[in-house]
Amino acid sequence: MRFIRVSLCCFRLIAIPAVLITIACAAFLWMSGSALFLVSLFWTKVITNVLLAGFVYVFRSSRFCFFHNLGFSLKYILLSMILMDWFVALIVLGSVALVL
Amino acid sequence: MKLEFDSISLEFGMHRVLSSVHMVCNTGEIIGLLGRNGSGKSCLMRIVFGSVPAQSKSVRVNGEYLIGNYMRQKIIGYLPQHGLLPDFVTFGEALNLFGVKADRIESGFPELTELLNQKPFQVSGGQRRLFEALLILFSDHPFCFLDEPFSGLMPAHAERLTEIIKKVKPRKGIIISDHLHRQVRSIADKLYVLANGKTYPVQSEEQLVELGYLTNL
Repeated sequence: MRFIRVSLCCFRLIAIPAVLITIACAAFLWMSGSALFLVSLFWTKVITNVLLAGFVYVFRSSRFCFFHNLGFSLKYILLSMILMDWFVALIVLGSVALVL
Repeated sequence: MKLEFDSISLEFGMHRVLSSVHMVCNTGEIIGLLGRNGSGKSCLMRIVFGSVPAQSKSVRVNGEYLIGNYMRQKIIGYLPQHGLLPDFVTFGEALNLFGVKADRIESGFPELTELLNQKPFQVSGGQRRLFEALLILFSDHPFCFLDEPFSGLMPAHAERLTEIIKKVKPRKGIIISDHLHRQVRSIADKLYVLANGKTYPVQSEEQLVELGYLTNL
């Protein structure tokens, strides 16, 4: 439980831009009307994830100490942040694709 | 428990920051670490904590080497110089994540309990610093590194924090670095000065002058 709570906390480092990107992808998918775009949206998410992780690593590294004290290494912080984002993206984009 | 570290070497290009460091900290002990600005105190703490890589280092607990990602063992709690809490976490959430009960904060600083629903940017710098220091001191880590815990604290709070540090001392090993050297010296069992990349055990006040930390007594 504690692991999930800390992971959710890590996700908050990128939550706003990551969720906005997911919503933009979902809106694009909805407007295109075809689930065929899922592949290109998958790569959009991959690229934006790399950019967000890079941004956090360069500009938000001072906040890592909080997570280090909780036993999370840099690798875990970045990994849990991205996994949480993918979890949200899968639910949102998957729901839109199912409706289409 | 006994925390020991030595053979630490840190260089930035041609500039050697740390070269010959040896320190031992036992639980039930407060170690004061003094040094001029830029002498490498924070770097040393971060290296031993495990968040900054060094060219070489040897960290041991009870004689066993800590290697790889030992942060997950939660042996050392570290209060960084420039703030611990991210702005999006409330004080109450931080207590929960660190497994610290709110009544522990309440017993020492009842005024801080009003802040539990607030985020760090919503309170004063001193209150934030005090809360962060308490969070590390009350957490389960058997060793605590406090990097300038008194900076930004009003004198009354600094005195009460000193009392809390003394209170948790029997079950923790604490290393404190702060420029309020009188405050540090008043609670430290052992004192070191970090100068020229090396640690020097301090036995007398005169040594602080000799090592260039103070200009006079």
